[in-house]
Amino acid sequence: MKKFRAPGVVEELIRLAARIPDIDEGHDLTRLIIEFDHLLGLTGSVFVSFSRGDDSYESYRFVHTTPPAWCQEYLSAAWYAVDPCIVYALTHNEPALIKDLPLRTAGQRALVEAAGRHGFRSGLVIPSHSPAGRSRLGALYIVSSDPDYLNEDALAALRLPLRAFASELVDWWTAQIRRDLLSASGGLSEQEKEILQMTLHGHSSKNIAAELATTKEAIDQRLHRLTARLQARSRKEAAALCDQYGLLE
Amino acid sequence: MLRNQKIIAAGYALAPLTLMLLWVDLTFTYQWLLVALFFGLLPLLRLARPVDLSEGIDDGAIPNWLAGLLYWLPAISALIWLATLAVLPYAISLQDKSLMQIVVLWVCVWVASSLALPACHELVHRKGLHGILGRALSASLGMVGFTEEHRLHHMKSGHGADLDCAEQDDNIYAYSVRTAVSGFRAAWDYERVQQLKEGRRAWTNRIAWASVVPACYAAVWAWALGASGVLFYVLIAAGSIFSFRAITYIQHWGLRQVPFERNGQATSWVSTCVFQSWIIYNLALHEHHHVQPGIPYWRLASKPTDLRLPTTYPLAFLICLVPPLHRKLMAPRLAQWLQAMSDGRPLAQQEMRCIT
Repeated sequence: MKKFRAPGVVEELIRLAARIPDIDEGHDLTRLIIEFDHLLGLTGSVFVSFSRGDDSYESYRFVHTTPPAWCQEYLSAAWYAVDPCIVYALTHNEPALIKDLPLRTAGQRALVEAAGRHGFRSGLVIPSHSPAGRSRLGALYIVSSDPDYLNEDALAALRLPLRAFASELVDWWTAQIRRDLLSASGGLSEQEKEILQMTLHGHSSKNIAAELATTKEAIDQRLHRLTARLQARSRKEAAALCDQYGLLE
Repeated sequence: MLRNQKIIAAGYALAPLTLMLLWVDLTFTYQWLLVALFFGLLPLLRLARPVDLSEGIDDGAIPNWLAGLLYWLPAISALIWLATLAVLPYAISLQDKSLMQIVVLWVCVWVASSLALPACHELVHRKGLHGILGRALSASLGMVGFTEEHRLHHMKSGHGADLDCAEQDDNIYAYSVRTAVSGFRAAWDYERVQQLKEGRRAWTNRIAWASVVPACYAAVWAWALGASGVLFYVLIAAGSIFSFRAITYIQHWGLRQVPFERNGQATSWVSTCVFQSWIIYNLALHEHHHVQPGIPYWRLASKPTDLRLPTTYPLAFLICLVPPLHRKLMAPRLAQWLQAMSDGRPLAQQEMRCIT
């Protein structure tokens, strides 16, 4: 009998998912995913979280239990830019078999061939989207060296618990990024939140200054410092970033 | 070290002015002016006054109008180049020139086109009109997939087997051909996937649309100068593509196998000469650019532990054309730097010195 069909596996999977919000450190999350792999009899797993519309390396967050050589090759070739699983996750909510994903470019075919060379012969991809209004999403890939292990049967048996697991993972990463932004920004004062809110809504420095009874130069200085602290390209991007991760609430 | 922020900011206005020197060159038929500036005056200035840039400009330290000008300068450079390339075939004649004169003219225009590349590099990192200008500028120089290729370059850099990092026994010629082909293929692949991600139809392929730019320029050159005009334009584009590959070769040479931590060890060589920075929009402060690709050129800075080029870009370019000489100059510098990093000690003056 396949491991994922063993009695109690689904319940154990839900218990593992329930532990995710209490994890503080990335290495603890990796340990949990190793338990997850062991429970389901997998060769490895990857969870990738990214922002819709942002293809920079900095947007991507990975936690994985795949071999380092695969990870190195994947990052060297920047395959996350063309990964068919990520393309699927952007436009779908339902888990799917990786073998059923369309491969439309030479780069995607090269990626799948390389995955095969590293022993990933069957797999599932489980998309996970953030709550409405947030652009952060994620994709959980689970892989096996057995070409018949992760098939339609696996999809049917694990669809619901894996969706819950992936959902907890994307929430975890969103919380992590929020913590990192808060730390980088040094915390936002009420006035800074107001300035960023108004910037988000398209107000000029002059308008904001008039609203807050201060000078345009003071607003420009404040926004410049916030942009630099948040390592954003522009004040609008800084405001959007803060809004996306709930820092303006 | 130059620290006056207003002087540093004002210096960047030289970048678009150098492009306009092409017209001075052509008007007075002194077609060596730009070449003399870049390959002669700049290294000599460096030798005479080795002034370095280490800090980026703090926008709060300069007037708003100057900060705005800094933002617009690369776009101004792009517009100057795009207009120049359209008007140039009507300003020159190839019929009444000897082969040597045509070669000299080509070299002059090639240096100008290469000096437009830093503006292109800056603009493709931006969105909106500036991003479009960057795309148009790169396409005018035959690099129709540059925006996509450069995005991938940033994604790949610093990860072990990054193919944009030339190995120590890679020569510039093989590297240029290899990366030109692989770069275009990767850019095309990337754009196709972007279309899928964004739900765009096949006809919205940005690289295909960018190809209209060089086609239009070829038509303009054909109209003005016939087949020889088209050939001249193609050779300008080929020269620019080679210049771009050479810059990337110099910036990332020998770093593929360097033990890597994302924000730790080097992903590129840097050169901090302020005169050079002024005319190439700080392209040579490349390490910081890779760590923070989103920040504009005037805010780039260098660290004392950065891996330094032994020469400025003009000489580095000439030296890389002779592979054994390039290796002889660069390999010891890289070994010294690696040793210093491994020992955890500051770099010695000799290890940071930029000769000229």
